[in-house]
Amino acid sequence: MTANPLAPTPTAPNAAAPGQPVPANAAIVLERVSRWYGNVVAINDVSFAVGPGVTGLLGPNGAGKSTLLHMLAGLLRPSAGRVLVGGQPVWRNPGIYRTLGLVPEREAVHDYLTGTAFVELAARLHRLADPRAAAARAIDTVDLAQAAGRPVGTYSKGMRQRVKIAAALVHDPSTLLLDEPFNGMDPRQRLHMMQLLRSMAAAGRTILFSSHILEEVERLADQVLVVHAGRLAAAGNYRQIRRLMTDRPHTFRVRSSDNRRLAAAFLGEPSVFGAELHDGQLMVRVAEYSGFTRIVAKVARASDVSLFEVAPTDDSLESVFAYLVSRR
Amino acid sequence: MIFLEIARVTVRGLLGRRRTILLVLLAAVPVLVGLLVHANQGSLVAVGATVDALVVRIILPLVALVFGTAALGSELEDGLAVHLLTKPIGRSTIVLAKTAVAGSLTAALVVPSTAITALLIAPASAAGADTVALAVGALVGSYVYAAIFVALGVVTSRGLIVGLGYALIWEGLLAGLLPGSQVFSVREYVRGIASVISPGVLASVVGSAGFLYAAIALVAAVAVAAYRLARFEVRGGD
Amino acid sequence: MTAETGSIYDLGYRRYEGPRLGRAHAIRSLFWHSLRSTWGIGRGARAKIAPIALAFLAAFPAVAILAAQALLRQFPGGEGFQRELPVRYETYASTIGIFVILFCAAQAPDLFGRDQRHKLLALYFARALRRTDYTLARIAGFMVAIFILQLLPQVLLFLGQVLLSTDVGKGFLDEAPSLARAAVQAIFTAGLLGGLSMAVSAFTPRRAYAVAGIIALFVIPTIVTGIVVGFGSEDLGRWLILLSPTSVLAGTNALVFDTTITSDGGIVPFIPAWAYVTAALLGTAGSILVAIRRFRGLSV
Repeated sequence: MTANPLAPTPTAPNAAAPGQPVPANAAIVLERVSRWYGNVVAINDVSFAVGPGVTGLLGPNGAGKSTLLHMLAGLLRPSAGRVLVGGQPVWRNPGIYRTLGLVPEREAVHDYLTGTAFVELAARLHRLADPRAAAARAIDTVDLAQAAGRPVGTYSKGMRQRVKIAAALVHDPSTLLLDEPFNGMDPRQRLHMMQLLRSMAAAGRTILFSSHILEEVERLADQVLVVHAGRLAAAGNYRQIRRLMTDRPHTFRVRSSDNRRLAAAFLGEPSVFGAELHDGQLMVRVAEYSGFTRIVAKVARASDVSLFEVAPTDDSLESVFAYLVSRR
Repeated sequence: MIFLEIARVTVRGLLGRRRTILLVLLAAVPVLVGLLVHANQGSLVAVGATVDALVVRIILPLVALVFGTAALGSELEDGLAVHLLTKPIGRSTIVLAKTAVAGSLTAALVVPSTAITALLIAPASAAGADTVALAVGALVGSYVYAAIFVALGVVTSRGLIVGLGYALIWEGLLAGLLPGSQVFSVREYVRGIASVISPGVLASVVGSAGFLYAAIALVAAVAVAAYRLARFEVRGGD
Repeated sequence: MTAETGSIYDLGYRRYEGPRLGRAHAIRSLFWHSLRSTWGIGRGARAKIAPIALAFLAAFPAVAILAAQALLRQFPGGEGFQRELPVRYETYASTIGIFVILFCAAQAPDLFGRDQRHKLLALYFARALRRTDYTLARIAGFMVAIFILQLLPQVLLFLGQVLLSTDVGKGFLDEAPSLARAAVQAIFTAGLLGGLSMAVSAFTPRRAYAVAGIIALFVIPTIVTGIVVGFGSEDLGRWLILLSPTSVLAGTNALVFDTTITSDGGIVPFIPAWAYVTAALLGTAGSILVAIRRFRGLSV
């Protein structure tokens, strides 16, 4: 496979690429972690470091997201490499759970317990000083107070997710791992949960969640880790990643007073690959992002054309993701 | 105390309505037989042999199997155990709590059943000693079997069938064919313990060594379960 | 780039115009699938361990006795052994009885249990298959699997005996009736044990309960009736034997091989042969009906 396309990015302190010095505040560190089952390699030599803030683990189904999260949570042993949370190894280290919380993907929760009882049980198992108060707080945080007195067996899928999240936060962990947390939530619940996670991150916690839904990651995560077929395809802020995808031209949408003349003028520039005219819009494909931004005003003025709108069109996580995933 | 918390939630999980009723019915079978024998005053049925055939050979292992595999093994399979494993609790604490609950629930069903049946069947002269002997044997057997089946549930996802194979093939068939193998048979330990407390109630190969072997088996099962639980890997997903 | 209008693009989606194989085919397929998956065929390697191991154990006595016979022929006095073989057709069923029971307990729970546990019943019933068809096809597949388990070792025994005899043709004719009787007994076994196992399995998605239920159903009544019968041959005690599946099969075995039941374990040979057969048939039919009723009323 080609070398990792990321050069060191000083503007991305929280998700480091392999080969880069680990930031001092990294709560989660993976060093050359691999996991195989017999002949099948599920995770292939993945290294990254995650610090405070919200990081999204993105990948198609089967990419290894759950495997990675289970290894981070100490529930699966890496076949090679090390997994460290807060500087300590997670495998066979139950003490790590004092500062680590996991929201598993599987729905299984003790159906016969009420929501309150379930979260209180978690609080007691964490040896908290005041389990009842902590549980009540956690339940309030996930907005489940009304239904908390009912058995979990009567909950909807979204409510189950929320009660699992409450149980994972009850001991106020500094690192929180969530496996597909927004499964089954309606838009309002999802919004509420995203606000919650953002506020936790702002208070200095490290939040890592996995998803295969691009909009969720785009809205919530500061940093992304893209996994595909067991490998880490990219890490960092996705806009920065886009900028580094140099073997794919950027596309800009331009609206002006005279699109055709502007198109002809652009095609005279060496950095422009192509220009297309569509229903009153001009799409320009350029080799390099910042180069174009420098010349666009100059060219427009030289051609005596007024610019109404200039916007990059494929700077979305979706295009980044599609690119990374299709490169193989 | 963490131990009590785990025990409490395990008990609530194990005593689901349908399961409890069926197991109570199962434990009631020897009592019914005992009533029949009692009503039939003229017949002389050896109390030890009867209780052995009914309880020790089949009902005790079966009840322990259901409770033992449900206490931990099935939770590991369906993902419920993750909530327990992602807490700062020593794995041996978990295993001890689960085993204690499975063993106690088994004993709660089997020991009264054994005692009542023995009282109904035994001739008045030897009733007390025989009953106590069999009841104590059943008590110890409950915990040892429960520990073994909890451990099996952790070690393999086919714990149920392996446990059954052990109870029926190893202890049943092989013990008859290869007398030496009885040293590794919990059924033998129970017989040995009973025969020490009330000599003659049951024939036994291991005799008083039954206590020692039972203790070793119990400790070994808990140790194996704790060892494997600490290294348990949650697979699947994605 | 996008206009204000919309269009639909023909991606080449086609309806299926080919033959639809219908209900009979669905029933046959489910039958074969049940039979195969009971033997672990078509499932992972781990699913094969239990059935193969138990089949091996069931065949072991046959293979062992053939080997012993072949060996002892070399020595004088071998004919005496030949006449009093410890492993014979008429005792084979009881010899491997425990393995058949374990096989039932190991494999029956998965057949109905997995569909219920993973909520697949809605998928099955939304096909040409009726609910009764589903139940019957699964049960039939399992019964045939038990039939094979019981008969295959005896076929091995038969082949071995034929090959061991000096006159193959005569040997064939001598042994064939026994094999035919063994087949009849295997049918009774498959029907009764198979039916009862599947009836238990139909009621619960959880393996643990189904397994425990099957074991309890097969092992406990035998012990209980053995004790009760030991009181003496009063009427009630006698007929209670028919409540124990293994005792009923011992009865049919005696009928089929035209032997008398030995009273080991307290089984009393004063019950007419037809009672055993009736009990076996009733047990089989009853369990099938119970299973059918279960799935007919189940809401998916």
